Amino acid sequence: MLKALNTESATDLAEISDEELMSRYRDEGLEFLFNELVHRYERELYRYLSRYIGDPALAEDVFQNTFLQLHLKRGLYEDGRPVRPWLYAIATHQAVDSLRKVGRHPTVSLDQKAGRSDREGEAANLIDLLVGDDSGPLSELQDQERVQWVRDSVERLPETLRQTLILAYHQDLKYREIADILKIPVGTVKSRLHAALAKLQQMARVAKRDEKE
Amino acid sequence: MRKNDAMNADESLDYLLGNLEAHERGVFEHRLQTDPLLSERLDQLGASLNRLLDDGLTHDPPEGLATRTVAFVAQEKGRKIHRPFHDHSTGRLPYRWADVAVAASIFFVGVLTILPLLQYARDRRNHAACAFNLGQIGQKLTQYASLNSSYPYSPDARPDDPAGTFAVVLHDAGLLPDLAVLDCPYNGACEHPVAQLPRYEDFKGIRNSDPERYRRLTGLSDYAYHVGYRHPTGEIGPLESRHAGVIPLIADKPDHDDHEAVKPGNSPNHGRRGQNVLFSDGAVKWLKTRFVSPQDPDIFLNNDNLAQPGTHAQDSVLLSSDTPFQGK
Repeated sequence: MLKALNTESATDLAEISDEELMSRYRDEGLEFLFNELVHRYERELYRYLSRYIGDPALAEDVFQNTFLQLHLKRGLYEDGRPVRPWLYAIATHQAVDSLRKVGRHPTVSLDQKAGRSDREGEAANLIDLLVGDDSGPLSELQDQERVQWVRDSVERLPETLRQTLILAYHQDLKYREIADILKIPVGTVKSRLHAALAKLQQMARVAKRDEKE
Repeated sequence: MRKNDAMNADESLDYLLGNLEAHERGVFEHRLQTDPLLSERLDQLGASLNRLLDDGLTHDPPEGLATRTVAFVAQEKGRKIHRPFHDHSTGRLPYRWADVAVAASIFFVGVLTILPLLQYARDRRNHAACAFNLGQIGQKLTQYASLNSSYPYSPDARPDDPAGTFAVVLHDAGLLPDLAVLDCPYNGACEHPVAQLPRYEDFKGIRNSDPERYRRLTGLSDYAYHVGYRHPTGEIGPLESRHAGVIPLIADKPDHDDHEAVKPGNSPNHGRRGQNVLFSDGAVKWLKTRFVSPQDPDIFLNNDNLAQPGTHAQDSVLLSSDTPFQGK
């Protein structure tokens, strides 16, 4: 039986869902199941960690430690639980922990406290804000200048907004997955996302005004 | 109208971020086809988001990251303790020699502190046990005196019999079943009291036939006994039962020099700090000196300063069990 499992073809493994892989790894402890999970998330999770931490070497350490935690906590995995948010949650905890240890303390901003009740109006205002200028405040910058401005500005966002923005925009995660990762309501995810975009747009206008002066 | 704008804005952003459900997405895309203005605004929003958020970074993983990760986890599996991430401190034993040294110091200080207390507690216990022994002997002496005209003495009225004969007499009378009471538990020299006492008649015979055994028998007790006094008739005799005063009957024995003379100072039984003394009223007192009363300034010597019977009834002299009643 063991041999049969070990010789499972790559095609067979590719057809197995993350959740089934995790359940089988929890029950059988076979290394090739774990390897498959690592390879599946290698690019996606490293991209997230590297962007979130901002240090490729540290991101690699956190990546490895995330999967070590996945191995150690495999007994806690419940059948059917989505693996992606669980893995991201572990990775986020490890990343926050590593940032604290290297002296970069993630901050929590009061900006995140946007109320759910006015979110629709807030969204309308946000869109107005984003598309109000014909070409946008960043349109006059050279491409290299613009991407550098984006990096610097996102880095200056409050930690919770930055975290949500990366997960939603760069990692293409669903709101409910982000809510699961960060252990917050879906409404709070959207509020944070809108707040992050509004703040970035505001920073862009200030930058444009300063440039003109 | 404002509500519709708000819904469109929310949906537009959700659509661009891929957060609409399949049927919602279908409905929204149908509206895009029928509403050019909505479609235009969506394009503007997309371009604006791209300008605002595209940081130009791809963040490709380093070569072999997955392989290294699998190897790292396999290596960590072999370890029993998983230290927190980024804890780069060197492997640390559960304890260091410095810890052991500190623990040992604390232990020794504790022992040094406790030892005197333990010794003190043991001394107090032995002191009380000595007083208890004297009390037990005192009860037997009182019983004997109530049945006889005097306290125990040589049955043949021989002053050269040892003072320890009092124990043989009590034993003969069936009043001393437990010989252990003759041993002072504090620091007495008589740590192994004789297992069995012969009758007085046999005791006399052993004196000539087995001097060594006789010596052991006469040294049977750690206590000194009242050896009587010189009566008005001029003869040496025992303390009479009807004696009215309260006088010492038995006590921790005195110290002796090489010539078996009584040395100055207190009994060696309690480190020469004093001696337990049983009085004729049954009380046991701790005397820090040999002084008993003005009529009896030395419990181990008579008023002539000799280790011999008292010069009168109130002059009590207590001598070791191997010393003759007549003294030396």
